[in-house]
Amino acid sequence: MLYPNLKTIYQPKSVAEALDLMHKHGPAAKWIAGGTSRSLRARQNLEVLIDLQGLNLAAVVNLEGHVTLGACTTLATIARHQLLTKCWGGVIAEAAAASASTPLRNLITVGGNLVGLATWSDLPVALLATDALVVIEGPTSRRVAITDFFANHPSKLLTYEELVTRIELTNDVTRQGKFIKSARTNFDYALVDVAVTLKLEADKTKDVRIAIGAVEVLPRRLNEVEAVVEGSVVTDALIARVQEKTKAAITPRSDFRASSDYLRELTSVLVGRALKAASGLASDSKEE
Amino acid sequence: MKITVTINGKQHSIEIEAGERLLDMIRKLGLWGTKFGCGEGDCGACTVLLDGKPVNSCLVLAARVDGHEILTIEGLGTPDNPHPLQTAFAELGAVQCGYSTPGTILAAYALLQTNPNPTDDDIKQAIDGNLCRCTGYVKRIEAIKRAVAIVQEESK
Repeated sequence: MLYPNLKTIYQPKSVAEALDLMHKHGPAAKWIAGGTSRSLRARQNLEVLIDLQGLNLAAVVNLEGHVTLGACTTLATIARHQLLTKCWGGVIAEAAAASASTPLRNLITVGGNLVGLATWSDLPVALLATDALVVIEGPTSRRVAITDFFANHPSKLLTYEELVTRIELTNDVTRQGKFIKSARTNFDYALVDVAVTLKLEADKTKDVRIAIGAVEVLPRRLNEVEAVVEGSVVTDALIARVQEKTKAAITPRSDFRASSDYLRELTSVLVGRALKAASGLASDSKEE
Repeated sequence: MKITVTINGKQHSIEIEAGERLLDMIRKLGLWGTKFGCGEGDCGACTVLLDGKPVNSCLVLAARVDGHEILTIEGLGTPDNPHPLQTAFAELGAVQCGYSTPGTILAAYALLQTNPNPTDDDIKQAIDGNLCRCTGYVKRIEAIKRAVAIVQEESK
């Protein structure tokens, strides 16, 4: 039995109905979307689940220059969606494709991936390199910038009655970008995730965003490293400075998979490679 | 609770418990081709096609497939008339203990439905959720390529 004590699964047909059900049955009741991480924790005592799959939140839509990702959109859909392979340098689609495995990508939803935020989650890192807004509905509605959403673990930001319903971002196809996940295999948890997006105006970089994940407890933008790049032409000398700045800017974790020294070195190299690729500078080394 | 689900083309009305895994529901019906491996979505031995897409049935609640379609390995080919994937896996010796085979074949079948001419990378990605401790993976990839060739020969 997956949930030995489960008595009821509600299957609401609208967000309003879902919120009403959670108001009545929560906080003991839990939301379920893909269910891939829900089923790995809190299994024994769970009695009530509220299924989000019937809420029509599984679409990627382009409306008036904005791309909206419904919270129940699966990683598989995101990985191959033509809107997402084209905007923001394609980093969102790249990150989704680099996550987990084929059957899991058909279950994992972007909402669950963001709210559950594991240290190794890939998609949040790519979204941090965009202007994404997270739309939360509950007793009140609010929109939170992605950088604020990950300022702490999202479980601290959301009350039990709140639901992420969609992510909105500008359909910006003028950017270049690169996402890199470092792991032994695609299915392996990330050791390091890097996402870089930028614009190029006559060779000079503009609006540079550099995000890392898996290295520290929370994913984040490296503002101090972005400042080194912003407005400059990307050269090998600049990349060397970027790598040194990255090493100084991060506090990598240390665990059985890698030492913090190794992660520091690895992250700096990958930030350099991602920047090189995003700016179109010819690469002389093999991408890992 | 009762659900209605189409399995291998046939509609079933099944009494299930709210917290039951799809995997267990399938096996209780006597469809033992779908295996319990890790129970955590890591090995893929439990892979079935849900509305044509591979999923880990150990992580899916049976209650959530009400009104949906499932394909298990029993729904693909017959002993007298095997699917080219099944022929190819046998021909190339890509089956050893067989535990990972049903899930892998279904994942490959899902790939060929949408991509009849996959590259090696497409194949590797399609079966990246199906772990295999016996074969070392090479023969499974060759078997899928062989199946593609068989299908192309047959369609001439």
